[in-house]
Amino acid sequence: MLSSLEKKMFFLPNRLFVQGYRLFVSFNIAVIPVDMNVLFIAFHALLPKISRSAVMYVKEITADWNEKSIKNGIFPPCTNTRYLPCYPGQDELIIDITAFNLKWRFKNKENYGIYLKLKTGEAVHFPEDNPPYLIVDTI
Amino acid sequence: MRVFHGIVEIAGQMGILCGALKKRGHIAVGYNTYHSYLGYKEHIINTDIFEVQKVFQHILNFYDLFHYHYGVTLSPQFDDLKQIKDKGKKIIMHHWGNDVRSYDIARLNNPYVYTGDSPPDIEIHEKLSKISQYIPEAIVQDYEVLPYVKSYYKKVHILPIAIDLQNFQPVYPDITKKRPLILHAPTNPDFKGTPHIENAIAQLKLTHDFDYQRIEKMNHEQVISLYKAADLIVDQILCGSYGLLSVESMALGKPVIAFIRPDLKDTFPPDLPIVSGNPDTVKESIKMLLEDPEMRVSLGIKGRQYAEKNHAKDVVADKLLSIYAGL
Repeated sequence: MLSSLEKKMFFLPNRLFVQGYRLFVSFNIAVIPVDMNVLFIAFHALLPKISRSAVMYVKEITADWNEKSIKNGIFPPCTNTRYLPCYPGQDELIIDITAFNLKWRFKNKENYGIYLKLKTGEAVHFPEDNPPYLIVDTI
Repeated sequence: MRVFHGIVEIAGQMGILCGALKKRGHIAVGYNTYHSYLGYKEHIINTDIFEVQKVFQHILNFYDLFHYHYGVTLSPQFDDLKQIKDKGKKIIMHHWGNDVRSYDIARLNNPYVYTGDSPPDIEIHEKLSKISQYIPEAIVQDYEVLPYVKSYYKKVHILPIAIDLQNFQPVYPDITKKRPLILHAPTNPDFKGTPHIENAIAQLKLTHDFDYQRIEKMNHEQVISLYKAADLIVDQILCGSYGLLSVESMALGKPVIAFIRPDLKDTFPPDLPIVSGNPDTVKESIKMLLEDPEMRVSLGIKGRQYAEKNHAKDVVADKLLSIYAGL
């Protein structure tokens, strides 16, 4: 039996663009009822298969974007890089992004999402058919 | 398992089922695009159809099973069902009554039934014909709804209305109360038979001492808090079966009057404690309970037990998971 997820909410991306080792994603969590408190937000992303250790660059996207503009080569600016190690055999990356709670819920216009870049010497692709998602702990 | 529920939250059922599935470790999300004054928000994402359609590809990729409600899917022409089926994912349709209550079928066994909230029969037929091309199995809440859909699907499951009993602590009627309070909450007076009920109430007012309150246009939480003070709940007296208000009232330990069609009585568990009342008999049913406070308490206790046994969300979720397993 899996553990209870009763107090958690799940969100799929409202925007997602995957280009090989790069992934742009945002989530609309402004729909969480205002009388709910958010305790924790976990970002889950499936990882491409890698044969040696790599580094994931995680950045906050700081301006508006859409899938079409990125396809046309117009990339949004990003900031606040975090570096996370990724290892062979690791299926999933889970990142604590609770810090975005207030901004993404209550200043929805400033919610541009996050950008992931997997720095590796290999040709890797984030799986497009298994989108990243958020698990939000609420009370 | 990852379960999508959508896209119409009518009686809080999507949320309750999602909550129960999450409790068992499944990812379950209800996407609601139908917003009413009832204000449901537990375990669902209140959104709109355009937002959901925009991310449909991600939804399609992410979820393993699609549980649609009320004969509505993400596409008016049900194109999404083909995509889901082609992707090899499981789908089930959950009909709740008004979405499929065909007048021609309903009137066969029920002279009182009101189907004005349902689409015309031809529209129901066309919709069910399209949906069942892609969805072989459906769910209904009881045997009253079953005949409207059974000829369209390979299999139709009966899944009782679910309720979160934690939100309903029983408050049994006070046996010493001199002026009992009767409550009636018509979300749609024509469907529930409100004019007949209020006619009976008016007549009984001449001979009996009691209070009557009609509850309308309040959100669900407000309604529940008012139910607690009631000594008798009169629910729907035309449809022939009982609905969510009856279940919630039983959970609160209240005696309930609703019309249970005689031919359906045996399809419910034998301990169903609802007192049947239709437009011809509702006055007598109310009178009987007004005059018998002990019976009000006894039925309230039995009602709570019935709700625990048959409508508790965990009981219903077990049944739902077994339906999912067979898809």
